[in-house]
Amino acid sequence: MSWRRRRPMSTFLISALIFAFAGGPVLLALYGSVVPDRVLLSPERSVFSEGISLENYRYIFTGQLPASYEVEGAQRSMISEAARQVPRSLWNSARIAAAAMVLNIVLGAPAAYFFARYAFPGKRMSFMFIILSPLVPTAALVVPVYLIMQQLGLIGSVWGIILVHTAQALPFTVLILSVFFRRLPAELFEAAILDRCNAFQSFVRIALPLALPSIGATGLFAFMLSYSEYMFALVLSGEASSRPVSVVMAALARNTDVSWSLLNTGIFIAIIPTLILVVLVWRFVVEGLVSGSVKG
Amino acid sequence: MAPVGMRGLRKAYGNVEAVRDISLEIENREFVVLVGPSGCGKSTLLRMIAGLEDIDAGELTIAGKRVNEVHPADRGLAMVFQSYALYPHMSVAENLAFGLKMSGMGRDEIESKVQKAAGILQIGELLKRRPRELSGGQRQRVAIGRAIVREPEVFLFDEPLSNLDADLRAQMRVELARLHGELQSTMIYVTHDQVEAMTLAQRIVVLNGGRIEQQGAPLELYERPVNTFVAGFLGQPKMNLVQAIATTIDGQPALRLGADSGPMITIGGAAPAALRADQELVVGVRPDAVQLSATKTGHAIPAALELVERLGSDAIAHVRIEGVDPMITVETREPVPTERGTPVWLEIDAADLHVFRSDGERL
Repeated sequence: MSWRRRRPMSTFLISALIFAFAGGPVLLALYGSVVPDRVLLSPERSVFSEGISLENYRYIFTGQLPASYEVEGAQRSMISEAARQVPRSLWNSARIAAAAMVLNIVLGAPAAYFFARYAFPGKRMSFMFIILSPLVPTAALVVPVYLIMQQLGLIGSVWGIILVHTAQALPFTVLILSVFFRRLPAELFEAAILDRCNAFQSFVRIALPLALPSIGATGLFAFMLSYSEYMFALVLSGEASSRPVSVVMAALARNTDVSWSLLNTGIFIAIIPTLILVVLVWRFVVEGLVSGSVKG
Repeated sequence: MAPVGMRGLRKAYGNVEAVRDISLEIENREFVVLVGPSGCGKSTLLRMIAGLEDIDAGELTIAGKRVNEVHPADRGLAMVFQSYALYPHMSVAENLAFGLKMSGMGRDEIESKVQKAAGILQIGELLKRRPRELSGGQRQRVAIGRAIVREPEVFLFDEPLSNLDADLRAQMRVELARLHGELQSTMIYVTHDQVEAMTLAQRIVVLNGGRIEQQGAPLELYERPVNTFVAGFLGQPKMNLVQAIATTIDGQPALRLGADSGPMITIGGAAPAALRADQELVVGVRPDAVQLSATKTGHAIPAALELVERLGSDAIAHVRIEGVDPMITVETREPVPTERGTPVWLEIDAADLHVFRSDGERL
C-alpha cells in the first residue's frame, strides 16, 4: 500500500516545483508592484512592516506621481513616462492579439480542413511551404515586411501588426488543425453527404463543432504569440498610440534608471490579460483534449 | 421500397479493378446479402449504390430510374456504416433528426418521425444522450434509427455488426430480420460473415475478385455451390475439398481420392452425366455429411484421428486419410475417441458428394 501514500507526495512535489518556476516570477512581479522601491531594495524592510502601496498603479493609470518621488531630492527621472503608455498599449495589444486569433481561426480552420480532406494539385508542395515558412529567421523578414507594409500604408497602424502576427501563427494553426481533421473518420463525412450536407455544411456542422477544443487551443496559441511578439511590433508600430505592450515594456526596461516598483507594476499589468484568457479558455481546452483522446 | 438494378457496373482504382462487370437485379422488398472475402469488391459495390463512389461504367437504377449521376442524398436510400458514423457532438435525437433537418423538414414532423423511429428500436430513453455515453449495441441501434427516420426506398448496410461481440451480434441479427419484416423495405447488406449471410438473406450474392460467383437462396447456394470457391466460402466448418480422379469399379463409376494409392468411392447412380473416365476432379463433402465410426463397415474409408475439438453437443474431428492431402474435417454428434492416431472409418454417401472440375466449376 505504500505506493498509494508515496505517489500523491511526489505528485505534490513535482507540481510545487512547476508552480515555483511558472508562478514564482508572476508572484515576484506582483510583490514588487505593491511595495515602493525603498522597501524592495532594502533588506531590512518588507511588505509586512510597510504595508501595501498601490501608488505605482495609480501613477500608471492616472499620472499622479507616487508620494515617495514627490519629496525633496528624489530622482524624478526614475519615473519613466513610458509607464504611462502601458494601459493604452495593453488595449492595443489586446486588439491586435484578438484580431490575430480570430483571423487565424477564420483563415486557418478552412485551410486545414481543405488540406486534410481534399486532394488537389500542388497539395504537398503548398503544405510543405506553409509548414516550413516559420523556419525563415524573423530578422531576415523585417526589412521586406516593412517595405510591403509601407506600400500598403500600414506603418504605424495596428493593422500592419495584425497581418504579420496572423501570418506568423497561421502555419501552426493549419498544421495542428489539419492533423485533427485528418483523424476524423471518413465515414462521418460520408454520413453527412447522405444527410444532404454539401462541403461547406459538412465543415460548419460536423468538422467545426468537433474541432472546437483544438480551435480553442490554436486560437490561444495565436493570441499568446501575438501578445509577446516584439520585433515586428517595434518596427511596424509608429507613435505611442499604436504601440503594443511588448514594445512599451521593452522601452520601460531599457531605461537603466527605472524605478523597480514601476517596472514590476508594468510587468504585472501586462500579464493580467494572459492570465484571464488562460483561466477562461484553458479548462475548456483541456477538457476537450481529454474527452477527445478517449475513443468514443 | 424500390427495386435496384445494376447493369455492367465497373469500378477501378488505378490499375486495380475493384468491381468488374456486375449485373444484378434486386427486387422490391428483397433482403439481399453481398458476401465475400475482404477485397472482393462488396463494399465498393455498396458504396457505388450509395453514391459515395463514382461509377466508371454500367448503369445503376433505383425504382427503374437511372441514378448514376444523382446525388447520394437524392437516391432515396439510407446507409448504416460499419463504424456507425454517429455525429459525436450531437445527442441521439439530433443524430436522428440531422438528415431531416438538412432536407428542410418542419420541426413537428421531424419530432414525430424521430419518436416513431425511437419507438421501433426501443431507444426512446436514450434520445438525450451523446453517442459516447452509449454502449456498442445502443450505438448500433441509433445508427439503424438514423436510417429508419429517412424512410428510405432502400437500406444499405456495410458490415453493421462487425464491431459487436458475439452475443450482441446474434441478438442484432434477429432484430434486423424483424425490422425487415416490419419495414418492408429493400435491404442490401454487405458482410464477410457467412453466418450473417445464411441467416439474414433472402438471396445471397457471393462476390470474389470483383465478380459475382453465384447468387441464389441461402440453402440453394449451400446445397448446390457452382464452384469450389462458393463451396468453400459458405458453411461452417468449411466443406472438405480434395483432389480426385474419375475411375470405375466393376463397371460402376467411382472416384479415387488423392494420389494413386488413395481410397476409392463408388458413386454409381449419383455420378454427374458429364463425368469422363480419368478426368481430374475436385471432390467436396460437408463435414456433417461424413459418418465417422470406430469400427469397420462395408465401404468405409480407413483414416487416422489427428485432433478432436469438442464443442459440447457435437465435436469436430480432423482425420487423415492415407494418400489424401488436406485433412478431412468431420462434424459428429457421436462420442469420438480423442487419442491421436486412433484408426477410424469414414462413410460417405455418394449423394452428398459435390463434384467439381479441376478448374473449380461444378460438373
